[in-house]
Amino acid sequence: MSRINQALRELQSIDELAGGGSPVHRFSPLSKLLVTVGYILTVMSFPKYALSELFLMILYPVCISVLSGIELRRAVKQVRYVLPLVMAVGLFNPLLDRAVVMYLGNIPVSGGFLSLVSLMMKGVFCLLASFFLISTTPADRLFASLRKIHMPAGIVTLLLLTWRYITVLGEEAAVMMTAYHLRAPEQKGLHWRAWGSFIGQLLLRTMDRGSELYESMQLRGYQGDFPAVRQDPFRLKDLLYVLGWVGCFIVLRKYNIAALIGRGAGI
Amino acid sequence: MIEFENVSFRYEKEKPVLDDVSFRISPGSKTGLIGANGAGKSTILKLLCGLEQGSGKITVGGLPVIPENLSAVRRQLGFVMQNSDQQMFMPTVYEDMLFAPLNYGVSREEADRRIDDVLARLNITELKYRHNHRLSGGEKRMAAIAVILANHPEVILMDEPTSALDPANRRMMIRTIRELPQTCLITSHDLDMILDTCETVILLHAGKVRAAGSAETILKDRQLLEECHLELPLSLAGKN
Ligand SMILES: Nc1ncnc2c1ncn2[C@@H]1O[C@H](COP(=O)(O)OP(=O)(O)O)[C@@H](O)[C@H]1O
Ligand SMILES: [Mg+2]
Repeated sequence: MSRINQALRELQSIDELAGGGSPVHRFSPLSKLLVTVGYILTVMSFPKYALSELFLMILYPVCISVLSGIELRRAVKQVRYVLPLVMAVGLFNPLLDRAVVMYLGNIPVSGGFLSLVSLMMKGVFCLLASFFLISTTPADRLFASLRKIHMPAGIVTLLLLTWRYITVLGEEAAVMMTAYHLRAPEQKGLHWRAWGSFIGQLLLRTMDRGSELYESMQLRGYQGDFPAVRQDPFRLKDLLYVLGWVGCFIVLRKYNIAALIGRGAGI
Repeated sequence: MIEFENVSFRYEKEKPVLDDVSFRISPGSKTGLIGANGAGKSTILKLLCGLEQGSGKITVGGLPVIPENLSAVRRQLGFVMQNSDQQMFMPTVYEDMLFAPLNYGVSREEADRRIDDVLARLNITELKYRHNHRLSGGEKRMAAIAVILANHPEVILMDEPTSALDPANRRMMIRTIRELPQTCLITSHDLDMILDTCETVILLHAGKVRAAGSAETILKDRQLLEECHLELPLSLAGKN
């Protein structure tokens, strides 16, 4: 199976995971959305050298993994596609920020290196949290909850279409790669000379298919709003879920638990 | 019920696809829209739904197909697209079937009743909670019809419903079409299927209606069909 096909299949299987029935799946989409946003904001707000404090934020994905029955390994595997991007962002930090800020044993560690590591951790954590959000909440219900917090219908539609188009784009790419390999069997990847026309073709085909998809929505009465397939009431337990997690995040952010534990153990 | 009066159409700057096309389809009938590849069959269906606009007059159930009427026109029409992958965009068959009724203000209970009824009628109840991308080609096509029927359209438009189906699925499709009580407009170059399902036929060639009338008569006319780059249906080919 080609790499594109593989990625595509993984993406589609997220939709299937989202149909599960674990305790996490049963909380309202809105509550999970709020918790995820809270988590991402908290993670992003950590200072750039605060590695040990930041590390404890892994508690959230670990808990969700246990409660939802979706293995952490699975999540990490999924996140690998985006990881190089995350790394690229912080790649120059070690070069720019060379001041030594701590020693590991007697190896000097520069501020730039620390901030690179923390940036990567932040990236991975946020991706993990997003993965757990979409793999415990069906896409359409998630988008319906965006409408509930008064996100403009246009933006929600755009997001939903993007979600659907990614698979369309991937399918077209897979078909074209297959056709290419059948005619250039001795070639491993795509020859650089073919890249331009390949991408051009891919965009054209995707746009065609995308517009047909959109036509099908219009023909079935789409006016800019997805009908709520399921009513997802926001119950007391959803409120508690949000408050509980946000409380945890605040504690983790405000107090250096790792240091507290260390100090406690030291006494 | 459906009327085309002097309709002409071209895609931007290309040569005309339809040139002064007129025909009418009476309520409750099944009509085959036939013609070689590129004859403009799919284009006619798109004009009917208001997905494209040409010159001339098109009416559906007495309503002219103009931007102000689109919602009312589309509510009456069910368009089964040629490629079911493009037609279905929700994760499961069930959710796809809910989409149109809920959009048109049908209550949830009523929609659920309709869905179970349609699935039972098409004999595909087991597909209800299946994921769209996991269906086989034949199942996808049946699900696509179910999605359309759930909205209770008065007219069903089908674009090449038997293309890319194996013989068994093709037979099932023909049986399904024959049992539909609605007005149907079916495009195809599968003339055997048209002969099995439609009583009238509209033959398109070079942007014009070349012939319209009884399916028996037109589909038997070898010379006419060959002029339009089509062939006699296999079931009639041996008989003269
Ligand atoms: N989106 C488009 N843009 C430009 N030309 C098109 C488009 N869609 C179809 N055509 C052209 O219009 C003609 C009729 O197409 P179509 O109605 O799809 O034919 P049919 O369904 O009978 O095979 C063809 O020549 C085709 O190339
Ligand atoms: Mg066509």
